[in-house]
Amino acid sequence: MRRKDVSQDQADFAEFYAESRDDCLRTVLAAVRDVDQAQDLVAEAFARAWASWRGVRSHPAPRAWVVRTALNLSVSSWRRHRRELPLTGHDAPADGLASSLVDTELTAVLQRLPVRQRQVVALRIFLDLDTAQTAEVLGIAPGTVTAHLTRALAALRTELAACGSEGNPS
Amino acid sequence: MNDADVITAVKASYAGIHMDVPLDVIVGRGRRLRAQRRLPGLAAAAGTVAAAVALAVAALVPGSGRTVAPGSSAGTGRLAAWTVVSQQDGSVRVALRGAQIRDVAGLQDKLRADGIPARVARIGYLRPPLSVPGCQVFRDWSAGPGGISRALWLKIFYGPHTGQQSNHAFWVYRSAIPRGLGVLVDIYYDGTFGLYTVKASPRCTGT
Repeated sequence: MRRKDVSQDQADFAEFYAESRDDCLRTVLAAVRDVDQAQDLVAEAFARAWASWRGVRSHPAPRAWVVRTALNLSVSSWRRHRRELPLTGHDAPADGLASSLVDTELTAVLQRLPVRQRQVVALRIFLDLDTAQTAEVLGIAPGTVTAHLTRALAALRTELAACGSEGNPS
Repeated sequence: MNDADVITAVKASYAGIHMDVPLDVIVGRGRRLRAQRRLPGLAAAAGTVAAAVALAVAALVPGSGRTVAPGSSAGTGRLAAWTVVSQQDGSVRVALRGAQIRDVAGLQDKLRADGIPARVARIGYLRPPLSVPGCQVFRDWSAGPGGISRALWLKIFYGPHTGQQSNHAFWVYRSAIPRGLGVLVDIYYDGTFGLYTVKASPRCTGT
């Protein structure tokens, strides 16, 4: 590879990283709930994207590639934990979410959703993926994506309305 | 409240979340991944690697009857979190298992007992190990001037092998470590690792 090509590639990757990193982190965070773990997973996914940049750059949705890689890493890590480590505290509520950085009330509502619904919401909201792309990233049918999204938005709407009415006594 | 309001509210709730890992850390890690993939000739080393793996696996199986005695942080009946197996060519092969290698001190002691000036830490590549207490860490070749040469790094951590290393195992060639240098093993959250060279000192590497 010529030096000029390498520097152009790196410039392209730098631009991609700058534009995508926050949204990718927010998407993965919605799924894994621990901000440090999410940051590690997304960093590793971006590193792999750079290691395979020629291919990733031509992917129809490079940000989706990064998120899918991060989520796959998360699953692998979780499976290893499950197989080889004691489960003490494994299912305890995550306390790693940077509470000072997010709207904790709304985050708590989101975190109460089943994991698939959280993933669908995050991919649709933060990455702006359409139904087909979301289905591809998660490896599920488009109809299932639509169903999860409908249920998730309905649940969020209900919870938010309840929060709103509690916070605004008449 | 309609769907658009919900979406807006969720987006706003995560507005304070930012990825603060510097680009050069990502690029450096990506380069290392790429370099590992590019090393050809895996087949040529397959026999040696298979023998080492066979020894390591034998050591991992309770009651297998093998006399290989690698260091291990595992209790009876569980797979070892790590094993260190001496090879006939004077190198050692370290295999890591599981996402959480807790007994880094045990692994460090074992490497030192095998004659390797070593420091084992859990730092993470998100925080490049350039400020390990008591250690002067040399940058790798991908970080540009000031780093050690790629050739030396390969001699220490690959020796004659030219294939891709496992993400969960590595070699250390004692005889390739120049006088005054030591090795730093940085174990990541998922049980993979980073390999660096450091200036040997009693505080850093025990020598």
